[in-house]
Formats: sequence, structure tokens, C-alpha cells
Amino acid sequence: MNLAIVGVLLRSLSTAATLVDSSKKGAAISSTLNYAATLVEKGAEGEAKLEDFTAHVEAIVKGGGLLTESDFDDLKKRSDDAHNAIQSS
Amino acid sequence: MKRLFIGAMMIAVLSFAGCKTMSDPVAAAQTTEQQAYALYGTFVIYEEVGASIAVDPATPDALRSLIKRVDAVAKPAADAMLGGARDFVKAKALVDQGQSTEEKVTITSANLVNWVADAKPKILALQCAVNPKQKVCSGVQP
Repeated sequence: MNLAIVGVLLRSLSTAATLVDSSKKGAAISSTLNYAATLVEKGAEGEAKLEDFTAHVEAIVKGGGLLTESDFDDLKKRSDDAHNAIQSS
Repeated sequence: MKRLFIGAMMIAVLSFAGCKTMSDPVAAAQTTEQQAYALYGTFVIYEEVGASIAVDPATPDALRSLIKRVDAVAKPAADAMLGGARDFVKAKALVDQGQSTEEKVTITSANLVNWVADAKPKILALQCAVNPKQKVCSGVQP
């Protein structure tokens, strides 16, 4: 099953949980489902990025396989940004 | 309510089970420097997913700490590997221009193989901390 669809399903169930049960228990279940949906959505984003990057690598290979300085620089900058975000979280 | 919760968890588990095999940029690469580049790109993608999980206030502290720890280990190894790939590409270009020797290419190539071998398990640990349900993560302890 596509991860993006699972994310939407979980998000809908999260809303349904508060509608079916308005107690603290309902809110707690809703919150759990909401976080599960967030994780699944982040996974789906990562999966899409991996597919795009695989296509990019395949294009490099087909195009003669030469890597440029900007290929390296782009990835390095993205890594530095993500690393700083993780370590300062 | 219980049935709803169990149903949701079953959907999540089944969906993850169906998504164990992901795109693999490293498998698409052919040469050592392409593999290093593809491995670094894979690392960046998992680092970005890790960052979006880590900055989410709803993320449990234990998961945030795990992501921080494995990223702190993987980042220097991945950067060293990227540096090795740059050195190798430069050395090859200089040989093509007649400004260096094949020996320099051989040395940078051997170094790159070592950097890749060092970085691979550390990047896998980050990958499995962020998405533990993948096939490659069975037996990996981040």
C-alpha cells in the first residue's frame, strides 16, 4: 500500500477517534493516530526523494557518469542543514 | 474504540510490510565514485527525514536522542567519504589533462573504497533509526 495513502487514512481515523469518543481516551487515541500519520507521511516524503535521487543517479550513469563539483556541493549543503537541525533539536 | 485503534495499527503495520523494498540509488551506480555519491545522497535523504522527525515536538525524546546519536556518528564518516570521492574525481581529471599520474588515481581510489566501507554501516544505522521496517534493517542495532 502506498505510504501517502496510509498517512491520509491514519489522519482520518485520528479525526474519527475524537468524534466517536470525546473523552480523554478518545483524545489520546487521536493523538497517537495523528503522530503515526505524521511518521508515515515523513516516510512517504523520504521514499519519493529516494525515487527521484535514484533516477538522478541513473541519469548520471547514462550521461557518461561524470560527477561535477556542484553535484557534491548541493548534497553537502543539504546534509549540513539537516545535521544542524537534528543536533539543535 | 478499541476496534478502531487495532484496525488503524493493522493498516500501519501492513502498509509498512508492503513497503520494505525501497528505491536504491547505490544499486543504480556503476563506478566507485558514483556509489560513494549515491550513498551520500541516500544518507542526506535519511538525514532530512530524521531532521523533520527530530524537530517535531510530538516526537518522543528517546527517538529524538537516537536520531541525534546515530547522525553524530554517521555525519563525519559520510563527509569523509564525500571528500574521498571529490579527491578521486579531481585526480582522474588531472590525469586526463596530463597533470598527474595513474599512481595518484590508484591511491585516491583505494582511499575512497576505505571511506565507503567505513561510512556504510554508520549510514545504515541512521537509515534504520529513521525507518526500521526496511529489509536491510533486520539485525541492525542503531
